[in-house]
Amino acid sequence: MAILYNMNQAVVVPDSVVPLRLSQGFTVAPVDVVPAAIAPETEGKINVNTCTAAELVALKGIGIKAANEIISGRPYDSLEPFLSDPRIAPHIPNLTV
Amino acid sequence: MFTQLDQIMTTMALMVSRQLYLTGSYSRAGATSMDTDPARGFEFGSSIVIRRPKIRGAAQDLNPRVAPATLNEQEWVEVNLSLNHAWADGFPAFNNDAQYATVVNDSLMAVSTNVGTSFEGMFYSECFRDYSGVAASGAVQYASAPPLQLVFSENSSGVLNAFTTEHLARANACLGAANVPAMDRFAFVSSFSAGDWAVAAPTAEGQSGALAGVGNIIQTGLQQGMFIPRAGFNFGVSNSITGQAAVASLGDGTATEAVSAYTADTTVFFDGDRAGGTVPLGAVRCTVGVTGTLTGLAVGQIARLGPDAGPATAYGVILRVDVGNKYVWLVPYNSKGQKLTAAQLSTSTDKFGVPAIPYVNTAHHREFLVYGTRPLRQPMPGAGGQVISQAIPEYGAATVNIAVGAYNAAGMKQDHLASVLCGCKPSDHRKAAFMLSA
Repeated sequence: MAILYNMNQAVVVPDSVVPLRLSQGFTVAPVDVVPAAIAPETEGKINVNTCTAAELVALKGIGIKAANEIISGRPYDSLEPFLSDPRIAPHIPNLTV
Repeated sequence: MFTQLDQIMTTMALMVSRQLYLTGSYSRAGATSMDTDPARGFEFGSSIVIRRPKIRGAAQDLNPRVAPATLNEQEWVEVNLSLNHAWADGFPAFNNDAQYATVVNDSLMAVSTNVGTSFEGMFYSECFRDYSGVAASGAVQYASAPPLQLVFSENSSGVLNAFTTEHLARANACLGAANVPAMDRFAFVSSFSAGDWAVAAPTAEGQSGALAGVGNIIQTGLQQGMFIPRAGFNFGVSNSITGQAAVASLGDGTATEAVSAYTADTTVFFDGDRAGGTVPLGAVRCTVGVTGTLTGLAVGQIARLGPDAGPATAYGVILRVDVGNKYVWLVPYNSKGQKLTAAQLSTSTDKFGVPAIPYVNTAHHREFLVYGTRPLRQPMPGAGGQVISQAIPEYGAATVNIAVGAYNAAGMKQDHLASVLCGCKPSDHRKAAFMLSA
């Protein structure tokens, strides 16, 4: 079983249902309900090891699913894994580890 | 060389179907999948909507001399089932095996058991223990969802007892109390259980208590309180939720907390089976008296309400958590499976906690599960393969596909594959009950 978050509410989810729920907008960690208002271009880089899903979703082209994948893959030693991902690669200049 | 390939394939399909049947499934949704036209068959990922009538209430006590009857229009609960699993298992048999038929026959039961138990894992997890479909905000019409009612037995110290016949009797009473049309109801234990039960025979893995012959089941239906023989009853921890681990701290280091208020919920959870949708489900909102932030709770956990060192007053499945206000919504049931109201819970004695529950078994009506299947398309002529799609009405009209093919000249082998396309969804939460035991 796994614990996912539905609108920030923790839910026990059987393993076989996890992919379905993630595609429906559930998250693997609580999401800051207030969208990140800080533009990464002006306020520095986003640390992929510590940022919230909301910060990632604020980036153009990155949705809940991609944000969950990033968070699930922590920790990262480098940004190399994102080079081949067309959703994330354009934002690498604004990311850090 | 075995020459009766069709017979082997049919036998294999029968065995797989029987295993599914023993799981307690039915395939009302699969009626149209019996169509032999593949273009009209179900595909992986297809969704099916089933509908069942809502509770209509009591019939009118009509005095025809005074007033005419007032007829109510029927309302329906819709159940959306997705065919999102295609269980398959098989084996290679080599043509240079001297005892080809023996190899095939020896493998048939193993294949059927494998498909059946994989199906069971999904069945238990997704039909009974998956509350993630319950909305996290707003009002909820609770109908086609996992069960809420439960029964349990604790000793005088507040520790769950091992599984006994008491659990069965209480669960059956619980199911019997549901105001639903009479079907071929039966109770069915789906998970491990410890202790002696049914016919007082020690059971390690939920084996049947009262053995009922399959032929007899088909002819007469399984009677309430009888249990079906199982083969390979085995839930893995990794793919299903069996018991429950305790939450050691609710926020301030203690596992149980006093509840400052039990409030009847009349605004969030409603009985989705009642026409109009305005009848409260019977949920109670608990205001947990934790110091600091309420943590460790999740929807789907089974909470205990009662004194720390005495028998519990109630258990209930957590349906919603409001961390900010320290609210937890659940429907409390006492040990006999009777729904309790907020007034029947005491803020002075009934503390809130999520304890360890070693075994969470289920008793349910057979129509609790729906699944649909479809026949496979025949291989191209000359491809060297054969397919049998066997629909067996006695076993819930499941269609099991058996394919033989992929002839490999170098290895001289033939692969045998059984597959069943299915999905499962609880159609009525009142048709199942949990049995909590140690």
